[in-house]
Amino acid sequence: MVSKIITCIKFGKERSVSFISHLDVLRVFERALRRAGLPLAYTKGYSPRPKLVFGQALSLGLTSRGEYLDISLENEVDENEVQELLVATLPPGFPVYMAKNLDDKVKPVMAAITHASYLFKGDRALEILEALDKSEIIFIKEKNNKKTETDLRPLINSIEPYEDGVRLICRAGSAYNLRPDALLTALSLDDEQIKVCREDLFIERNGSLVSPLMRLM
Amino acid sequence: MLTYQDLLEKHLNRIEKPARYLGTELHSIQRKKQPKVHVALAFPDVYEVGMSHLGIKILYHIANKDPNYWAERVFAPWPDMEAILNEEKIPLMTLESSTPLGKLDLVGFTLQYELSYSNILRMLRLASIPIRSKDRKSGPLVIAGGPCAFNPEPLAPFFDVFVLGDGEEVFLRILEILEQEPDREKRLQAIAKLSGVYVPSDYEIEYKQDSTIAKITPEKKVKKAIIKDLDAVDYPTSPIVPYLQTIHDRVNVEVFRGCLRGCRFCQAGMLYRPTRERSKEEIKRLVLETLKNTGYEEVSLTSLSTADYSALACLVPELMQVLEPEKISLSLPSLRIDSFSVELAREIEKVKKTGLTFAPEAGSQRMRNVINKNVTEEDLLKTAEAAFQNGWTHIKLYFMIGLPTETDEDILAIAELGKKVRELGRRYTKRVTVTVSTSSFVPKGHTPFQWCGQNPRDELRRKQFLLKDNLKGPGLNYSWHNPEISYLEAVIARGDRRVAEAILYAEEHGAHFDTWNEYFKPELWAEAFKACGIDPDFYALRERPQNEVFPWEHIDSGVEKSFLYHEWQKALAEQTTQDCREVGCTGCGVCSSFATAISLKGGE
Repeated sequence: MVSKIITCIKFGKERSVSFISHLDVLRVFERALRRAGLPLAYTKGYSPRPKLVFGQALSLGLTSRGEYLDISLENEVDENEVQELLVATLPPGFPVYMAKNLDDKVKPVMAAITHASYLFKGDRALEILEALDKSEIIFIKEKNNKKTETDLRPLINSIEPYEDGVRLICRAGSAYNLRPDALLTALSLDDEQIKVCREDLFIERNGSLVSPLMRLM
Repeated sequence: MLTYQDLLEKHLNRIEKPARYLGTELHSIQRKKQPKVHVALAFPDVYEVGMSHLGIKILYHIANKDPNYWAERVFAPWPDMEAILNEEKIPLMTLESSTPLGKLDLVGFTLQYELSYSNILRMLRLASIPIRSKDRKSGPLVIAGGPCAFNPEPLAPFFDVFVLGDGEEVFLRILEILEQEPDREKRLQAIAKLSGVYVPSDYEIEYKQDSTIAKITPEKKVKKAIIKDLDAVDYPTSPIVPYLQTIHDRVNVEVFRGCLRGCRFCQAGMLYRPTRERSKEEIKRLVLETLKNTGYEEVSLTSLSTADYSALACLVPELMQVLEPEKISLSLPSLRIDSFSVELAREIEKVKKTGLTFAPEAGSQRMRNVINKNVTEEDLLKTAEAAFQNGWTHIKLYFMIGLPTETDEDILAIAELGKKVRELGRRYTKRVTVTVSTSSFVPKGHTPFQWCGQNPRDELRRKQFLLKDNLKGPGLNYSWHNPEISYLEAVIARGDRRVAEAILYAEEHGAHFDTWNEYFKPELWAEAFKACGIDPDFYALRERPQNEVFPWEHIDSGVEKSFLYHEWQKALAEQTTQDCREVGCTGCGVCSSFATAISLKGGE
């Protein structure tokens, strides 16, 4: 009896592919994995699809150095081989940094994510630092003629200068999530040409942030 | 100079689908060095439509195999991107390298449907390329090919050259000429000598008092180009894999070209004669290689009538043996109305069960004899029953309305047939749905129906209401086409050179994306015809006498006019003509004209 396995890969999204939507990225990987000839595990039913779980959707226009994808495989393949196969077959703009085999009983990456770090660059990016001095940062979202107000301040862990911009560490995931574009809007910085890059995603464990590749059962 | 990437960065929130303009998809061709010959393959519709087109994939592949050539793509920019190009004063550019079209050696458009013509003019305008051929003294050659090139006249003033028929070999010859000859005028002269090439400015048209054509000079006809052996031409096994979901987002392997069923309304069936099959082994090789290179989850075997492929009964199970374990589905886009087709459908739908579609085309036997669609009601009912028995619950039926000699009885027979299929289905399932879909018949050149008039729009609407009233009830759906669109299609499809002015007027006044309901403006086209002194009814509705000189009289598909007229007379007499594969030569003339023959390689 071969046991199934989850191979989690960490990949990036460079500028040239930052305009590809989340759903389209999903198809990019489905096809790349098939081209790579990996022993994919499929869903049951009329339209079988490979079992893939992404860490968190990335907004259109953002680049990233820290995306995660759980691939369900029928049997174990060497981690380095998975990485090499994907590097060889993915279209340009999707670097693969690492692949790690995990037991298939680990929490799916999407459910496990709790935090993210973002890098902001651009002329006025340093103004984001002022957010730390505020006691609340109200973001107003309009949907179907209904306004909802959210205070973004509690979702922020830290903001610090980084290279010529800033680095933000904040809540992410399905329960509490800070969207970087919402923060820029709330700070009235959304008309500026500030470039945003997702640096990484994390799981909080005993008060510290660890990589989704380090998930335990 | 800004690139598409720059424009996306700058205007991201204004662009609906930025992935249309990336040009970096898997297997797209990038060149570091300036190539000797730089051309664009242009499809005059939006990315998702253009990227589904097989012809562009083939030409892209054969041109780019040579490192000296670079063929890039360009599609009609969606209105959001068009506005940005105008605002930024940036000319229309190719996708791969953001090169303005005006800097290329050649721009080649594919003509798939008449209602894309306004987009062609818009693309030239956006590229700042003079719209009329006579005004272009420098810059790229502007050429066209595809089925609509068989009546090139409504576009005659806008193109330097048209390519007729199978484009693979001609296109390579053209690229060679561009490589060897730098002078624009000499390039044109050399290209004009190739077979399958029509230079509209070499021809003059004289008209009679009654507006019909008196004479086309010179009398020399231009013959289409033909590929006699499909296995001998190169076929792409590493097609571009788009990021966006396109209309046909899958591996497409062409199993044969041409169709000999002889449906009298079908232009493709006349233009692409004779049938030329790929061998079964070659098809299998192409399917497997393309899957390996693309990672697609679906394969489609394409042609005008795939169930007619001579070795399909062996090919499908052989393919399924490989595809099924890989969870890859197979689709056959055109099923025949017989139990063999249901058998095939059952074979391929092991992976994914979808609806089944059949095209009886007409409701009554009389009408089916007129159009030479050789299926009986019994065939259809038996086929439908087999489908229900095998677990299908949804059946779609395609028909045409407005066919020559049609009466209300023929229309009502469509509704009756839909209901009979529903009743049949109820014996097997409670959830049966039958969708009846009608399009409005558009008479096309080079077919036996080129002499007949289209039904007026009000008549088409009346017939649609007749069907709506008679296709009510649970388990029955009816869908129809906008008669205004079919009317415009009919005007342009049999239009002459004078119609070109109306197309230009309409485009100048805002017409584009005419196949898209949200952009189609029938009033604007009516205004255009009026402004140009053109009576659109003259082209769409008029029945032509036997000896009429058609605008496409000098374009030779190989099928003789006398054969077409004989077929037209047989249609009026409700007589059918069988497939020449079964009953021997029916005298269309194409094989002798090209010294070729039907090639049924699949059965070898």
